[in-house]
Amino acid sequence: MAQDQNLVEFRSGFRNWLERTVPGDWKSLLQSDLRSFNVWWVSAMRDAGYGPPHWSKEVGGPGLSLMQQLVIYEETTQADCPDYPGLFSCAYTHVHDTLTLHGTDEQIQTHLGPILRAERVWAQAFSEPEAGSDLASLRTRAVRDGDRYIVNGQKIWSTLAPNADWAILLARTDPEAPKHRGISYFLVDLHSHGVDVRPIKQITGAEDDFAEIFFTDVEIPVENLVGRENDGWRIANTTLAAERGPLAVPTALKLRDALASARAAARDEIPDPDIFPVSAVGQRYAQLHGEVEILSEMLYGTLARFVEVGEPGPESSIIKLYLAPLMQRVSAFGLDLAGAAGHHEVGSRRQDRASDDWLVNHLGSWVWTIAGGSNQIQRNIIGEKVLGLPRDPLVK
Amino acid sequence: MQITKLTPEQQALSEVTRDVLAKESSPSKVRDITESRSPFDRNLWKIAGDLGWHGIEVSAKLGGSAQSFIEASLVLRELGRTTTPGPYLSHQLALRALDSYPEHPAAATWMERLVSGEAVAAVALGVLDRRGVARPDFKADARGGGLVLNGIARDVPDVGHADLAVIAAMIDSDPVVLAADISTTPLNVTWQPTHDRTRSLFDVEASGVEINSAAVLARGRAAGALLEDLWRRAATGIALDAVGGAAKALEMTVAYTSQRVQYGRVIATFQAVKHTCADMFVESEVARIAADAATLEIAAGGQRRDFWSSVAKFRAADAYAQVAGDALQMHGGIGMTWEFDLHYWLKRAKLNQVLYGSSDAHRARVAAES
Repeated sequence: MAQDQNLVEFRSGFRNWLERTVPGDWKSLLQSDLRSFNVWWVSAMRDAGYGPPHWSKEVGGPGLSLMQQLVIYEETTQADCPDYPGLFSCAYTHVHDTLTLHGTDEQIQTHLGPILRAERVWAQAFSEPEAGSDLASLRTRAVRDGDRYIVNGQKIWSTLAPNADWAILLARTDPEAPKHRGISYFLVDLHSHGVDVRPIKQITGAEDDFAEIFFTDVEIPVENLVGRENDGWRIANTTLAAERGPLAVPTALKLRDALASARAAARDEIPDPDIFPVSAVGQRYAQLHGEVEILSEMLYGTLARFVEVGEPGPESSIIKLYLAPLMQRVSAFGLDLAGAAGHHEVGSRRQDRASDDWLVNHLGSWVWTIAGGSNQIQRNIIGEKVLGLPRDPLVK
Repeated sequence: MQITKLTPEQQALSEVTRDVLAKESSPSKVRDITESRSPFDRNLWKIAGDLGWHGIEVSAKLGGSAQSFIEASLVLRELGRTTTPGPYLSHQLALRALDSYPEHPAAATWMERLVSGEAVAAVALGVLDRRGVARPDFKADARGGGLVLNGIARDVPDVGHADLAVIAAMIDSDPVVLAADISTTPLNVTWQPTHDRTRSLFDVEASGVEINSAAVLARGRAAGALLEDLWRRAATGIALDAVGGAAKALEMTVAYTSQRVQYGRVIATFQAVKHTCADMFVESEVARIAADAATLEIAAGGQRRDFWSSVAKFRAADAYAQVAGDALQMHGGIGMTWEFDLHYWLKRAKLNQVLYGSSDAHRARVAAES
């Protein structure tokens, strides 16, 4: 946990603010109206000067230091409060990061304002049925026609899309070029004519989190092209990088909480302090306890190195590969200890992150081994980019 | 915490150590020593003394350079990387015991020769049982002004090469730590040859051995605290050895699979091989992070030093065994030969898992404190 002395006041101020501000019945408010509750929540954070945490003052953010941002994520994870920034996560990170790096002044003006005012939820429209791990083989077409592009195609696995107003879109603009060099990056209004968002029900039962998006002759004005035409792949890679950083910290903290709750169950099962350490359950707990604390060191170490050295260390590339299977192991441990009760349907909504439903936690952990480049793809990346192993000659 | 940035001095220490060991403890030198069943390279031991490795943490007035466990950790990592034979860790632990009692006569008698490397020291801490409880192997009984020592310690590293042994014993239910001059103490020391020839283990038997009271370094609570300190350092020392060894075993595997051709392709282009290498990298990094955390906690006297030293021990030692095992698998038949060097790493990795407490024993320690 970030403990720099000058952060102590910031932390206690934020903690007090959370206690005063978050209503005790936030879970039922969230259930009854997901959208308006999320709008209220991110607006309250913004008005108090806490959000969007990593936005600079130039674009209307609070201009917090990296360590202050960390405090925000740590405290919102550990307090009894809703997931933050919830529905606005894609808008706050991917859209902001992409536009501030690659967007025009006009794009920044046009799009960051509505995000800041919590008027627009954004989603990502990248993956396709035939372009998952091999994202660069995507086939959705965008054809230039005067001062607009005409888009046709199908996107899938778009998180947040059932509630989204706009999306960041990758589409092919040059089918003749090598696959990485014929893709462009667009901003698309999902309320445009020809857009059809169809929610996908997930294995957890959640229906408001995930969708397919169909584009039929959808018009995108040229001013919504980000960067140069056919430069979308490079731009998308900077967006994907936004998925790491301080945002992984809440995941580690939640994992620590989940393990603590499993531990309580384990100690109930084996109360004898002489037997617990040598029992299979005690041994399994100790192993996971060590792993979860190592994960935390890995994340904070990456941040510390970033602050001190200005670049992430080699461990940053393994965060996902280490974190995701660990989530599966911790939730499997909780599930085993809970017995049949762990299979009772308690909650299935992702937004209701305080779920005590061990099976939902367990199933949800596969999000982490699949999304954002599956762990098989991560192994290729580590093998080739970190260890310098040669590429598969058949992979173009 | 992780060691995110070394000071220029630490960086230099790390680099010099690596350069010296690359030359003085190359695979062919390690092979020469182990094939001839020599315990270790006395010449390198002398160089280590000249370079100040032994006295790295020893206070300046006792002839050391008064650095921290962080500096010591850098050397231990490099020694693991080259599977260097020799009583380096044992010696450091014994020096730590003496340095904790700088006014004790044993410090004046031994320190200078231990820091220079002229004399060698080892420790007999006892065993860490399945419940994670540390138990000295010897019993001591008061007789006259001194003590009488009885008991058998199995598989104690390096004590057969030592001039001085730091020995843990129990007087009834109180621990005591002794600094015994091997030349004047009639212990029965028997070498137990191990498959890992880079380490030397000995059984030590004491049968009515009289110990002068001047050899008592600490008693009671002070002895208990000293032993806890030594256990943490021993566990972390093995973890650091594992970090260095795992990194090297991975490097060897990357090099080999990047040049070995089958089916007309370099085998590292196959995902079955590439993904194994990626997993080996994850294991190596996890080991490093755990060992770093333990090192920093020990150096700072932090509250989580018990936790981290045990986590580092089981996680890094297990990671090393996994990585070295995968390295053998990736090398195929050549890795099964005596002639090829890889078995040095695998054997040391497997022995590391059981030295100074098994992985299960260290997990039990973690489970017990939670």
